[in-house]
Amino acid sequence: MAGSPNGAYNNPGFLTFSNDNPGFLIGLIAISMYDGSSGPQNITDPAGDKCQVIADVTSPTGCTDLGSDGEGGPPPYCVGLGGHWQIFTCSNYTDPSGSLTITPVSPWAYDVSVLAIGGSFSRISAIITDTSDIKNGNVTVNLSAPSGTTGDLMLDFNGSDASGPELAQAPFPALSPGTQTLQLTFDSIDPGIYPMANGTWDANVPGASGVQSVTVPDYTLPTPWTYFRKIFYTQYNVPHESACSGGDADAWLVDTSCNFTKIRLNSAFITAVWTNGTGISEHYGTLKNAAGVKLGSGNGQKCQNKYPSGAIGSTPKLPNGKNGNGNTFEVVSSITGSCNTTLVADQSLAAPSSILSSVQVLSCGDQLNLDDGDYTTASTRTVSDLCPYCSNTSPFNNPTSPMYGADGHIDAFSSNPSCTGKSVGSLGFFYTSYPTN
Amino acid sequence: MKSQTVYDAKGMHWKSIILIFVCQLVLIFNAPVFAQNCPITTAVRTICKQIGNAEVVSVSSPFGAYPKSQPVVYWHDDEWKIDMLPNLTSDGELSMKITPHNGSMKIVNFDAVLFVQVDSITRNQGDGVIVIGEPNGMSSVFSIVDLKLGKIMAGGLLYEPSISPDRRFLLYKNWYLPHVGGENQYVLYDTLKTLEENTCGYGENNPEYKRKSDQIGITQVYPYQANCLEEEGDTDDNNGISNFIWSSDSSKVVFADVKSGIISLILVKMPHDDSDKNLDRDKEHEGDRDRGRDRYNDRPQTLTYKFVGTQNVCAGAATCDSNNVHSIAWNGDSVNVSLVQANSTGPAIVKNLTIPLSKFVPLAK
Repeated sequence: MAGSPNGAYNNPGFLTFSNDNPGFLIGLIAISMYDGSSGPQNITDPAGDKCQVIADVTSPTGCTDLGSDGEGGPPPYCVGLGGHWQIFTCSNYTDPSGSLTITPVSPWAYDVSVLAIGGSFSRISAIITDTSDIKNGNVTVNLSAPSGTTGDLMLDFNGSDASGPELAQAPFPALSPGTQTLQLTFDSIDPGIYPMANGTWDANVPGASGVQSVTVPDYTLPTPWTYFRKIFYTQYNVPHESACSGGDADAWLVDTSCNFTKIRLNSAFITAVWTNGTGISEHYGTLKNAAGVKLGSGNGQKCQNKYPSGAIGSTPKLPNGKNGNGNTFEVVSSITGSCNTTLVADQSLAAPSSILSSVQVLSCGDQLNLDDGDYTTASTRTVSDLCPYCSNTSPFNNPTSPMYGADGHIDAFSSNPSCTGKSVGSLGFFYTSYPTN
Repeated sequence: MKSQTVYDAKGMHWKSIILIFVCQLVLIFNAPVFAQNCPITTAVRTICKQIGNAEVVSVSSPFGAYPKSQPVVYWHDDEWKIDMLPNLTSDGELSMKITPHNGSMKIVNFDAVLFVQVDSITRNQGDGVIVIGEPNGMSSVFSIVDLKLGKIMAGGLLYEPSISPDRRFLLYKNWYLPHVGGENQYVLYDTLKTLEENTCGYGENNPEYKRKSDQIGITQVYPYQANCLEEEGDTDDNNGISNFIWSSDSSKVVFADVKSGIISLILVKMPHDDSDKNLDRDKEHEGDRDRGRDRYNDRPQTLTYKFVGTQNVCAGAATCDSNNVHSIAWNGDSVNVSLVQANSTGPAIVKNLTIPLSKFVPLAK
């Protein structure tokens, strides 16, 4: 900014300068008081920008007690050029013509006149410049201010969730000028869809006695940030009969016409397929839990009351107290999820059928970014299946549940062919965003 | 419960180990005796409790991978020491060692597919334990084990098991294929009864129930089943949206369920008043305060309270789930519930309500 104050000698006083870099202004004025009194000064500009006097400066003359309370100093009166100095600031000064009007405030209007005004002007600003990696909590800002300035930045993300408006605030203490990439505290950002951000930087400028509050201009994200926060990822797999140990047992194949064929399968594999829903047998191809394809024996299932003796199409509790499972399966040609696409190991996932994390329902093909909290992408997964049970939210509030503290639950498809879930396990918690670009 | 200590042990390195060591030194001087001995197993959350004279260690698996060995899980009291063994059998099964104060040790093995980890062992009021385990990260599985016989008496897949404070009852959501879906059906298992006695319709002179092999051991407390059959016209969209909140005396439990966008509180009164448990189901004994309920009619009773009208916090909302239920707590003969209603123009609206038990309506019969 090319400051060219040419002084102001009347009440009100005027200041003009060229303003080629709109933003925050800081300047210095000198005011002479012929009767030894001082008082608060209002500094306004034609555009109505927010300006305020923020400090009284008594040097270099011998005046004393010239505080903002308007008390004048004891004799000798402060007169002449060595009068009252004040630093002033204007937040978000945007007037390109560059002019200010300085008006003493009553009752001092007749006691105070502006004799001179001058000083150097510098700009203080805080601008969001990049959110391309906000899916991993990274936001770049540019802070401009005199050297030595430091201050607390509050970024406000304005958006909504399924229930209505949402405001998420991200504080960053004691930031210095410069371009810097900030890392959001994942847990403190509420789940929501955020298309816009702004904020405030409370800068402590050297030489100024107060905090300079700078508005961070509105920033529209290139793509709204849809943030689900803390999602617990369990895993499901397709067990292979070849990975199962132990002996064989009777099992049944059922087709869509409710025809049954008795076969033999590894007994552990029978349990594993029944529990997981799908499995790959050694001799019969890919098998699906009959109840899962509506060919079970329970209420509302197509083959209800058509099951032959020994074939089980539901999950029973056996009279001997053992944990029961069905033993009837349909042969299918490929491993597909509810989206009718082939499941891809370690890429596909099953999403809840209802709104995830109070934000939105996921759709087939949606891509999610998983971040384990280190501000980098751990993996990218695609919705290819549905997990109706994942809509259950009560485990999130149960301290004894592995999902305690989660905002949502997703089941990820694993390539592990294991017969049991031990080596499959879960993926655990990930901060999850959508989309990934 | 006298004390509880929880340890998270994921990804420990030497700094963490030193920190835990220091913490344990502090515990020596500040915590009950048992807490300082709380075992730490990497990759699981360990919970140490003292229940009466029993030392109890249980785990949960919030960190993903299961540890290679079964983590330390046990129930130790004056009569029984029941421990999960770290290693698998040659058939890949988990084993539980039962050691009586006087008598010979027994081993019980659990199905290798259904039990990849045992999370807790809870002794009931008799000589049985409720074993809760995991087949994977999503489902749960339970077994009722007779300690004297060293034998599994009942069990099965389930979701979200909850054991009553007196350790007699197990309440859970029925299991269904997680990717296929199904409605939440709430099942109560009384560990002081046999598998047959826990079966819907037991003692009601209803021959129908015996044909339903998938209902043996099942007493569904909600939704209502007339003659142990699914209610005609049911939309099958019940969904549990709260934990099970037991009264301190275990005589009743309350939880929130949503169906067709309407939240209800579900109240289940247990089959008997626990204060006279030694006299229960004894018609001849004058001390039995509920002796009118004999062995066959000693069934749980379910009542509901619907939040409708001005109390319907889900009216017009896109979702109705656990986010609408902030808290549920017992308050004598009432239930305090804090509901949350979304507000498109400002902060969510919180409705704190007290529902007397007299306002609950029994399920239709």
